[in-house]
Amino acid sequence: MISFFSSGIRLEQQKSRTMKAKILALPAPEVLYVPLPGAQALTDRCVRAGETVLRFSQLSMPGSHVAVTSPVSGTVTGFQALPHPVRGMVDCAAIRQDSEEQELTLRAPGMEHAPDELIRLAAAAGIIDEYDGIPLFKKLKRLRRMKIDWLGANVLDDEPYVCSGLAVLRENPQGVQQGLELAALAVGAKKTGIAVVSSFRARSYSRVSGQIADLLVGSGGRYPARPGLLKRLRRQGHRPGLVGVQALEAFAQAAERGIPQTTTVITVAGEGVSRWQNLRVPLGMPIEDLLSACGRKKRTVVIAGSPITGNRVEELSAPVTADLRCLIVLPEAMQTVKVFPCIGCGKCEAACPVGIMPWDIYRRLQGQEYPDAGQLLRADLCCACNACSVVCPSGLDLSGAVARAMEIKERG
Amino acid sequence: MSSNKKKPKAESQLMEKGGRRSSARGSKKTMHKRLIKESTGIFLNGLVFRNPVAIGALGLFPVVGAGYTMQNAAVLSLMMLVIMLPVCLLSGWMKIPVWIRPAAALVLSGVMYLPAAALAKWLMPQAFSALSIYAVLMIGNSIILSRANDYAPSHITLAVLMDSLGCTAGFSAVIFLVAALREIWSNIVKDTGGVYHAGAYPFVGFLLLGVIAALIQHTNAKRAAAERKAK
Amino acid sequence: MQQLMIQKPPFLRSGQTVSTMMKDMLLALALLLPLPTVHYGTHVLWVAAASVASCFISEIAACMIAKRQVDISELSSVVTGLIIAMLMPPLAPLWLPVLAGAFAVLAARVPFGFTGNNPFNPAAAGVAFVTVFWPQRVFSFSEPSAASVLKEGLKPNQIPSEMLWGTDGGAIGTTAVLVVAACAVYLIVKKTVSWRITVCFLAAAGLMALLFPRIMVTPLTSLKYELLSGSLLFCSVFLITDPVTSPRTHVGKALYGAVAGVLIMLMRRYGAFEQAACFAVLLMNAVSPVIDSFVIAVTARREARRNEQQ
Repeated sequence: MISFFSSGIRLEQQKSRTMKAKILALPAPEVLYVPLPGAQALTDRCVRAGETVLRFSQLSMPGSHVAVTSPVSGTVTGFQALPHPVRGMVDCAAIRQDSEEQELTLRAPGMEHAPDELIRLAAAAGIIDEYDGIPLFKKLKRLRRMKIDWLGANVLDDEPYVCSGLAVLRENPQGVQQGLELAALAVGAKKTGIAVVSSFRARSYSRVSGQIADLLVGSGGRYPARPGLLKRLRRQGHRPGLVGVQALEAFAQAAERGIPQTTTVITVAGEGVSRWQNLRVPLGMPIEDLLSACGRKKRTVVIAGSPITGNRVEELSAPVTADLRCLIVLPEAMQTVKVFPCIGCGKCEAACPVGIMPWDIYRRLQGQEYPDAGQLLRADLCCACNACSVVCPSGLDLSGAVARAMEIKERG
Repeated sequence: MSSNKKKPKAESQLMEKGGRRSSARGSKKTMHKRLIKESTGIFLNGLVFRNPVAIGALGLFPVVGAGYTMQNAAVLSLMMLVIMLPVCLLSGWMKIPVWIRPAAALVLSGVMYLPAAALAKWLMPQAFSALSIYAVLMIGNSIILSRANDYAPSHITLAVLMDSLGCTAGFSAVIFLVAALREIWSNIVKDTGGVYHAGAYPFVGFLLLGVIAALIQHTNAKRAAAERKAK
Repeated sequence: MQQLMIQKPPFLRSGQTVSTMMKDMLLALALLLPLPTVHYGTHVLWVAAASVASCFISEIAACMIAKRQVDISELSSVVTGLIIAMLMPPLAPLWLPVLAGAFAVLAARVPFGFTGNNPFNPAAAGVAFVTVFWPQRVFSFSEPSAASVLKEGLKPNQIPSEMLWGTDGGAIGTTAVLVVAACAVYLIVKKTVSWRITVCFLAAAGLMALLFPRIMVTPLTSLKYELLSGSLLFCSVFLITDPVTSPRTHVGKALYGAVAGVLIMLMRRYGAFEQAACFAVLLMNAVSPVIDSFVIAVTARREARRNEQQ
């Protein structure tokens, strides 16, 4: 009954195949384009073209972003700006792999578990939250500033097909739990939890059990899961914060053995590929290599990040980045939408997790160049989940209208 | 309503303010010709192209409420003629200040109602009594009031005359058409086992008026397009 | 309708489009047909066919006159036709549904700009049109319907099982209450119609029947007869839930349903006809934009107050 009244939409999850799939480690290709986020200036880079690097040797160390280490040993052949699969452009270091697998010997950092030290470790290990692309150290700082008392591992994966978070949780529950405890220590949170869409599904399909199963917090099984979950936790008197599960796993690795994040787990699924898999791939691997490993069919489109809020990948030479959770390959035939005039069904309002009336905003923006900002009700609360556009039976671009309304409202 | 005011067409200069000066130009013969041509234009505007009922949505009440038999239509048209012509001419001749014009027009049409009613009673006593309240309501008819207020005082006599005649003709054309269709409808419904006086339902009147208005708008749009092409 | 390539996210859609909603409606309406066909013979099917054909042909003709692209996959005119057929008496002369369908499409749907813009429910308008002019024919049932007996202030002699299976007199699609209820469940589960309107409508109508019975019986008997007779239940599922003409806000929908429920009971009691559903629906259609703007104004005021507090 609760799901009958609560906001959000119930999507066909399409997860049964990827949920059971084990994480396969994919070998690195010959040439990697390792993204160096935030290292546009030469001074931020630690290597020059022509230099040889070992595995785990520093590639960049900008002041405002994470430090990046090389996932393989090889020669740096140059630097070039490549399209980021999810947002904008990113500078990349092209590394040609050599035959011998040499790596820097790493030692575990002397752990004193002081919050500041943990945050510094997160920056040095190059960990990025896979849900929003924010560096983990920044996120931890912000959560500490907000005085979070409930820290959750974000395993929501509320979109169809996507299972990378759940796969990580299933394969390495101890690592996740350890990372969560460390992160909680860093932000000063007393309680921890693991946020999933439905704890039943996490238990039965992903076989999460034992101590970690007690930490599971279900959000009610709808898309978008995050706003509803946070609202519920706030109502229970918590100040909640979420950190991506892959970031936590990498954090535990870094704290325990000093290994920086050089790989990420990606779900490759959709009707356009023959093998639906969860893959652990080195950062900087070109997306086309990844897709050919999964058997991409002809006349398909590739969507990166999330099937609902992500973008279409036009340049398949783009590298894998840490905030790429999935690659969805869909046949072109599925990519059409029938557009009707608004019939006033009110489904968009029912789907909105923050109580916007997208149909009203759409109507007000239509044919008006300068609408009254005061009439665009609640548009500033939009969480960009795109649920309204998903559910609209007329195929209207409601989320675009709300985004425009938000812009108008912010301009005043 | 809006289409009535929006289109400042150059075709008829008499319609504009200051028509006196422009019509004074040229020789007497050409002026005479032009006057005839333009007054025909004004008359046709009132009759069809800017029909006060269909396009201006004025005087709907008698058409919708009472225009369901041909006799009613005849009585109302007659009264319209008898009231409108003198009221418009008088308000054109007299220099009445703007603020009192509506009241003056109302009083004038009230005065003219008496001869109109007497005439109608004498010609068609049955139909006149059937009209009851609608006959009296002709005093406040919005066609007469609006024309007497806005049009008559700013134009020359000939234009006012042709405009009142045109409006009356337009009114009677619409009311006769609507009444004829409503009588036909009444008969059809009655013959197929429906209610009696089916045409007398006001919404039938509205519906027919809507169709007529759409037809006139359509021809107007076509005319405008043809004119644009000719230019 | 146009078919477009998806350019912006989301790249997955819910799969429910206006045409699937229309197909759901059509399926539900088609399910209502077999039982009356068994009871009253195949003339019922002819009535349905005539009404649908009239709507469809009117729609195509209107498209041609308006120089619009004729879209066969646009099913809403077919839905309108079937709803009209369901509200016709089983032995109606065929010109009656044809006339209702033509009026529905040509007067209530096309002049306002086709799908999504009509302020009044076309089917309700069509049925109201023929009800006004041919009341004897629209209410000519093989036996006096329960609604007409109630109208006269007497207790109907139908037993509830008759009313549930639709063997008593009444319009084609409205008598088989059980089938209508099944269709309601189907449409609500498929989220084609809004449960808020249906539930609030039935609750309000039921409450009216309980509190102010028209006939001298116990309140529960009154509730039973009022809800099972006439086109009330059919109307609550197919007519009043039309998304285009009902309010769009949640609160507005609930309010709309409740007011319509009260209105239909008042019309049954004081109105001229035994079945007043169409007129109640048309009246409510007229106020539905007002309800919406009222709800939005209240929300805006609350919003402004919240902003002030912050």
